[in-house]
Amino acid sequence: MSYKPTNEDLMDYLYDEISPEKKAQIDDYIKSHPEVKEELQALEATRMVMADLNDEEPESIPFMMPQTNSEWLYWRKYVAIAATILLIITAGWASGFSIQYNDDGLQMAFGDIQNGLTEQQVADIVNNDRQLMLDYMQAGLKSVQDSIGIEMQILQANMSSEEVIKKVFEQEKNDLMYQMASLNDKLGGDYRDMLREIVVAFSNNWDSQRIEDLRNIQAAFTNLEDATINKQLDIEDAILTLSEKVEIIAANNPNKK
Amino acid sequence: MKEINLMPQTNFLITAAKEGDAIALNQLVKHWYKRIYNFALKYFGDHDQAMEVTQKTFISMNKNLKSLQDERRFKPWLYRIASNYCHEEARRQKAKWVFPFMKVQSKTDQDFIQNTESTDRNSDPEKEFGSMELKQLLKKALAELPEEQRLVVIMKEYEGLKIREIAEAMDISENTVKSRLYYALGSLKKLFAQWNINKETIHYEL
Repeated sequence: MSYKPTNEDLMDYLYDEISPEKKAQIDDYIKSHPEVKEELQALEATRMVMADLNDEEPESIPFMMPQTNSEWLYWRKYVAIAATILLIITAGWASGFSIQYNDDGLQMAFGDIQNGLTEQQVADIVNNDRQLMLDYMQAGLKSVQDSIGIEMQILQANMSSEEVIKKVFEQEKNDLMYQMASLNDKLGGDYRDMLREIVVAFSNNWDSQRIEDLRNIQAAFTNLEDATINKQLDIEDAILTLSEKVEIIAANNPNKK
Repeated sequence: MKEINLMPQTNFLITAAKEGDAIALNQLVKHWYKRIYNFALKYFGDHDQAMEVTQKTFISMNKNLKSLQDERRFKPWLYRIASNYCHEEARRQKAKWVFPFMKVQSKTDQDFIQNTESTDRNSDPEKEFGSMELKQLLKKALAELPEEQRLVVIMKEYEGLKIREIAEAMDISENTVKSRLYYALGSLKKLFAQWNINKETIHYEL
């Protein structure tokens, strides 16, 4: 058997897009070639697996308008541009917009063109302003200077008159002396009072101390007296007892004369 | 496929839409919107990008419908627009480097979160989660394919285009379509074997 189907033929066969003659030819071939049959079956199985992937529903179906008047679509953008230019020109005309170009440069305006300030004018304004500012500052400085000069003059005038200074000095001295004297008086008075108080306190203290001592001495004497009397009584008792004992012994003594 | 049965009606709609019939145009969009969305969704595996491509495709369709000579070739023509936008979008995304934490939660993620919450008390959560997981794996498998193979597989397996139509849509020869299909199916077969997915596991999970 010389015929051998190509891979392409097998595809035709698999999808059944094949002429009956060729189909018969391949059928014959498969009978004697089980490996080709197996392959075809495996491919068929693969197709069956693939068939498990189902369709999905799209979200929505759009509504379409047919493309009509394509000539107009082509020209539409040019018409739009032309209309826009016309609109701009009309608006410019209505608002009195004008443009001119001369030595002063490009000028645009609504209504009549009015020239602005020239460079010289601007420079003048700036200079004027600067001059004004300078004048003002100079005036301020001058007034300050003047007031300082006046103060200086007054001071110098005072310096020159010695009399006045002496008088002022004298006055100041007197004032100071008076203040010192009054302070001294005040201090003296205070010291006297304090001293007196100290002396009184001391003497009072002294008195009370003396009285206390006297009391102590008296108490000591009293104690001594008491002690002496007690001793005397004891001695008397003792003498009495002794005399009694002596009498007893004398009475009992046969050797008595 | 359903669309094939609707072909005559689609042809009529295209003719009407070309003449500027708004109702016909919107009917046409209604017919094809879900298909193109699912085509792009399988290409990207991402809702937002799929929506973007779908919208661009239908805007382009609306604009260029007049240039379509033969109404019978509408289907490959439409898929051609869609796959061009898919390619463009993928390139744009590749050029744009986005930090993972900057990514906004997409509809796919939201669906994932919603699917983890069982709405039906009687439903078996393991079963639901299992089938969802399989879907994720299939999406991942598609994403693993090279772009040109992925486009061919999606058009063939999910969109039901004829090999001839795919060749027209992608502007390649029919043989190239077939060989891409062959390699793509082979890669998928290998991936499924690797992930231990086969007919039995599907039936078990279903």
